[in-house]
Amino acid sequence: MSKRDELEADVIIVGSGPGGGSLAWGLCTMGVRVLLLEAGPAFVPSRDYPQTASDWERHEFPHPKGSRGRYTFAPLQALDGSLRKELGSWNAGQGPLNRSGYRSGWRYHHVRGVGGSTLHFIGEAHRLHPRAFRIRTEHGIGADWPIDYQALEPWYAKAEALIGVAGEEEPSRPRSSPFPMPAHAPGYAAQRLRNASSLNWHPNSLAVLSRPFQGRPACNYCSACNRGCPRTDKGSTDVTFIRQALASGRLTLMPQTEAVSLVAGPSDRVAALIASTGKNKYKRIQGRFYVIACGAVETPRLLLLSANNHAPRGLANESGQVGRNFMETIFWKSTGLHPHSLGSHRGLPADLVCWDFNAPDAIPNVIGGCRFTHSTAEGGFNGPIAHATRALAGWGARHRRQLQKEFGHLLSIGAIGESLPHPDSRITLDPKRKDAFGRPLARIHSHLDKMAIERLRFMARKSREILQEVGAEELREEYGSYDFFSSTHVFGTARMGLDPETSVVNADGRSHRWTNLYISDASVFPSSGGGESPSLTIAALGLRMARHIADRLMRRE
Amino acid sequence: MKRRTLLLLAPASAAIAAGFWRLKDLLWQPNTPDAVLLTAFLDTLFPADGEWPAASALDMEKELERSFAHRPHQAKKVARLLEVLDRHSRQMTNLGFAHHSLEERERLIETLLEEKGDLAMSFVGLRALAFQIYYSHPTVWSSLPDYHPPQPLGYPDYQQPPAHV
Ligand SMILES: Cc1cc2nc3c(=O)[nH]c(=O)nc-3n(C[C@H](O)[C@H](O)[C@H](O)COP(=O)(O)OP(=O)(O)OC[C@H]3O[C@@H](n4cnc5c(N)ncnc54)[C@H](O)[C@@H]3O)c2cc1C
Ligand code: SF4
Repeated sequence: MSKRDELEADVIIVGSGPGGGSLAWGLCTMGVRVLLLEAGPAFVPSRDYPQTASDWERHEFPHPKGSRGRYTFAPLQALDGSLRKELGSWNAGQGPLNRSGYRSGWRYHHVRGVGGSTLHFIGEAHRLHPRAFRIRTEHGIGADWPIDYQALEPWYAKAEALIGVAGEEEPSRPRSSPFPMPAHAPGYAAQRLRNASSLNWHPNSLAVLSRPFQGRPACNYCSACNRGCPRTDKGSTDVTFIRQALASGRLTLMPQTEAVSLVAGPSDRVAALIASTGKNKYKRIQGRFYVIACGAVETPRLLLLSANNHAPRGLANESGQVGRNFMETIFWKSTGLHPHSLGSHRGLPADLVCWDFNAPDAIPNVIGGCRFTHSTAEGGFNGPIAHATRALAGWGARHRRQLQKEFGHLLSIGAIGESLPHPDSRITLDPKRKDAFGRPLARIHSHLDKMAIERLRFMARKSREILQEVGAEELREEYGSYDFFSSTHVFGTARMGLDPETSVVNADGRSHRWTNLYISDASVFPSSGGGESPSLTIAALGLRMARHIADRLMRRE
Repeated sequence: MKRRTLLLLAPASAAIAAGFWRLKDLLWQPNTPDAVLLTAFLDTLFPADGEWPAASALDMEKELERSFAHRPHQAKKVARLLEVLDRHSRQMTNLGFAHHSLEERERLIETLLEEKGDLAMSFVGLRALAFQIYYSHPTVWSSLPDYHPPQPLGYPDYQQPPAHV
């Protein structure tokens, strides 16, 4: 490599999701020069997202070339016939959705792009339940966090303020300051749900502006956040942390630049990083600190691929824990038909949340909680195509008249539950399949144990009960994790902890052994929480890490 | 060849020819769907009805054909499905699928799917694609209550009961 192919920075961050983006913002505003490498492209919201098009519903989140990573699935578990009746995915239009005898690996939903998977997210901005941090101490399973809610609280508050989170105070999560934005009023369908349900529903706390903020407009309730927000009121990382970090003049952002490996050097320090900027174009990049923020599937892969004679089992893998403790999205969704027109295709995709069963012991006879949301639009029932295809059987004139009659009547309840570590759930390197550089792809192993299935049964039963209370008992679609792996939230594959034998990084996110190597993404989560969405916690950890690294730089460590 | 021999062979060769065409029917797999069959099929899924236009009035078959250009595998599957449907129609009624009334075409699709469960997945796939194209058309979606593409208008009235109620 020639001199021209070398770069230098104080801190090199790999990956620009909420983990990398928040860290970059924190460092840049404290005067640190940062190089942010991102494998995917930069998106232009007003150009790239489809919501204005007549055929918008035909287009999922846009995935231009290079914006989706490749991975494989190890064979998933066989399905139990008796449970299929209760937990099998189906809909009125297409019948059973998994006709095989095995759980199907559908997708690890993610985006490679500036802003990471938040480009695709629906903006839920949740704080973890304080007791989720102590699940091992309290219940003897999973792992404790090495920090508690109190330690993270100021960083939660800071992240919310920077993003512009809208929400309503809620007693289980004490706050040092009010939400920076007033909560969004629930939509009409959600109001009907809240009035009829015996559970406690709150406006969901969302990274979606309820007032104009920093040149971004307020939301106009179009319902289609998971296809990208063309107005930029959704607080994805590109329009919040990264935009502000770039304005500082201290951030160099390199899209379409993929870290190929980190070079472990002598004296327990990472010596350099090799990145690809195009076909056969490589750069050797040196910094004082290296931070991996590639998400819980790609981060362990990059660490394992960086094995050399200084780190023979893979970088930071002295404990053998890299890739282990993989936690996924345990989810359920039931959709019913309401007798009245609710206009449920309008409004925010998940405007109401119920935390009644969110604490680790809130579900009877099960450890690990869950939460419920009103999620008609989140599940895709915000346009006629989904309704016609999935929620209605048949075709022809009768089908069409029926659609006209019942469009806007669907009501969906979504549930996400705790995912606990299991020895058979992990990320490894695929023994056969390789990427464009000839490196093994990440291989996802997932196993649902008895407890996960019991939790899922509770989530399904409760979702149906809620629909019944609300009067939408004619079920039209149900799907969930029992017969599909389909994860938007992934965690745990480079867990943080106090003990170097059982964890990969310490409470600051620093590798136990490699003194200039950090991890800033959901792979450090020791536990997933009871269904909370992770991005706000990832961002809070990133801001906290920025303070810590800036202090070390000041001390010239 | 003597006239008598020829006369003797005639029925045999007719039988051979008929067998050949049946065999060809069974073995021959078109790569793209027949345009007439496709149009008839789509107009069965979406017949003209009051304010609703028929699929053919929206040139849906052309849009599907364009979409098949990027998906040869799907084009082949649909072509086979329509082929089998046409053969089923000829077997049941001595007439090709496209020549039937709407009610008869509906019945033929239903009976075919009942008889040949293995075609269900191809049918589900084609149905989904057809719904995607049909309901993307402004003439069609504008007949739905309180609906429009999400942007640029959004739904500022989202807290209210739907306007048509
Ligand atoms: C449809 C959907 C809805 C969701 N809804 C919510 C929600 O409402 N609320 C919420 O909190 N969460 C939600 N999530 C999850 C959330 O988006 C993720 O948990 C979060 O973005 C993870 O952050 P991360 O920083 O760990 O990784 P990511 O956001 O995945 O970012 C990792 C980045 O690293 C880059 N990268 C990977 N490998 C390399 C490499 N070798 N070199 C350079 N760059 C690399 C990737 O391209 C990517 O941009 C949703 C996700 C999806 C897909
Ligand atoms: S609902 Fe609001 S945040 Fe979501 S895409 Fe529409 S305008 Fe953006």
